[in-house]
Amino acid sequence: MEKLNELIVEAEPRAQELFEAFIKESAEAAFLEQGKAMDGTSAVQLVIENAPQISVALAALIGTLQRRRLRFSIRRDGIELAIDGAAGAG
Amino acid sequence: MGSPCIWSTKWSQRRAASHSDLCDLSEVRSEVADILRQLLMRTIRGPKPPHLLFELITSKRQSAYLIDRGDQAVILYDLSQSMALKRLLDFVEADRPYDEIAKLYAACAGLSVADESPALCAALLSMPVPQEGEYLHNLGDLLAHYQAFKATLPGLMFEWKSSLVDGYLLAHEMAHFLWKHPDELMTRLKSGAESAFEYALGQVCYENQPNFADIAQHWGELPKGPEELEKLRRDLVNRRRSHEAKRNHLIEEIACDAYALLMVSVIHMSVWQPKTDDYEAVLEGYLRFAQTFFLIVALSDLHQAMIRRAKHSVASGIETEKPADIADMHFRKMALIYSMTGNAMTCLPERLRQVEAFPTVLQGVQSVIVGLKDSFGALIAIPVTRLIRAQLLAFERQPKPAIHSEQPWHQKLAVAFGRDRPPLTYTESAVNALIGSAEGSPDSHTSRRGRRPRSASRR
Repeated sequence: MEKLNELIVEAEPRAQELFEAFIKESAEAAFLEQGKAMDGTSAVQLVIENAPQISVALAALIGTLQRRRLRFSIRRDGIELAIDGAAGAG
Repeated sequence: MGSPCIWSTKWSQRRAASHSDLCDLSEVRSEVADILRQLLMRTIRGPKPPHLLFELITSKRQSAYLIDRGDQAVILYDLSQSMALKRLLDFVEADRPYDEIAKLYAACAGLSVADESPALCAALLSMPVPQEGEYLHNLGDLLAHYQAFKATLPGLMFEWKSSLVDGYLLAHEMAHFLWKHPDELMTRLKSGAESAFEYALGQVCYENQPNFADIAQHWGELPKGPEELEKLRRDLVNRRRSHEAKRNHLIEEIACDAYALLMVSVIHMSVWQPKTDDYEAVLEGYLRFAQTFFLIVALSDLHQAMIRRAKHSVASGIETEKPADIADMHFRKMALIYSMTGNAMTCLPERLRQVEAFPTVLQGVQSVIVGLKDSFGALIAIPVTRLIRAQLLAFERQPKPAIHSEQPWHQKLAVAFGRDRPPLTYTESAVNALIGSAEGSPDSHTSRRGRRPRSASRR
């Protein structure tokens, strides 16, 4: 599988607005993905392609997610990153 | 010349890979994807939407998934969910006793928590099942349910189970795509789903009905004290509040189920629709299809419900308050009866297909489907749920055994997927890796086909 240095923040649907604001304001190549499972659960993902490192904007987003007590997880190329206070989403 | 059919991109392949944690996708036979794509095309009215992608996954989660990304979307089709449902149908068709079905559900629930709790996964994969199930009903009622269920089985469309199960799952996901890009049919289904929502709310949350106490006590079959009745009334009020808060989400799910119901019935029309002008015979044929479809949805509902209970047990303990959405799939199942009635109406000749006929047809569909639902509940859903709940509770209260294997499910999945089903989906080497070699496996004797069903009195 091709490596893209892809960073994915997955969270519960309530995080959608925050993700949309990040995409609008960030210069990085970022996309919003909405997932719906057959079991009725859903989640939103912020996908940042070619992310070299956790940027200032992303660090601010993580801080907001934590303050709002939204469940989220972060994966870089499929490997989950340990972020203080991040509960596994979904 | 239209644009070439593109089903897969690097983006969708990456998502499929990240959602496949059960088996390497390269181990899946390539023709399986071709067959499923053809079936998916039959659930679409018109050409393939250019931005719809399709990938296979094999996940411990056991649930199909649709990801929307702007104007693109990918259906991640989960083979483990499809295989589990087909095997459950095999057991029901063969009139297997509840214990084999319970083992399968427990294995599926265990698999879903393999990462969070390897010890619980191992415990559920080797769950002991007592010979006698813990039924809710007395023996007389149980036998009546069994006789009714047994009489229904020969009329169901088991020989089409592969295309029925896959068609249901594919069309449901397709409908989520259409929800965001609605055509005329989806617009109509959206409106029907709103009425179905109200119908299901009235059926599920009956706390305001004048005969609440009668319904709650199954007309005297299950006597309850005043405190129990009051607790049930409060539970129903909470449930109503939860369903109403998620009204839009539930209406989307109901519309997607209705889309799947309609498209799967169209695909199989030549099977259930007799060649006759006798509308009663056509209606009877449709009800046979509707019962089969409902059975698949009921098996799927219980599948996801047991997974949720295992996750609930790991997260906070099975005796803590259940998550508010735990009954959503049951709610959707009830709404399906309303959607089925809409379809059944089209079996009537035009002179009878009037709005005034709807309540009578609804009553007819309801009595046939609710009869099946009640038997399914009494014989399968209730004892299976009780057994798995007891297992979860026992596990929570006991000291946790050490797990020596990194993957407690590895080579033990015969109990969930069997040995005769996977050739359609996985290569032989993948099958052996997942469920162990055919020789000498301790659970091989329980997963082979052809085991004689037990008699009614053993159930």
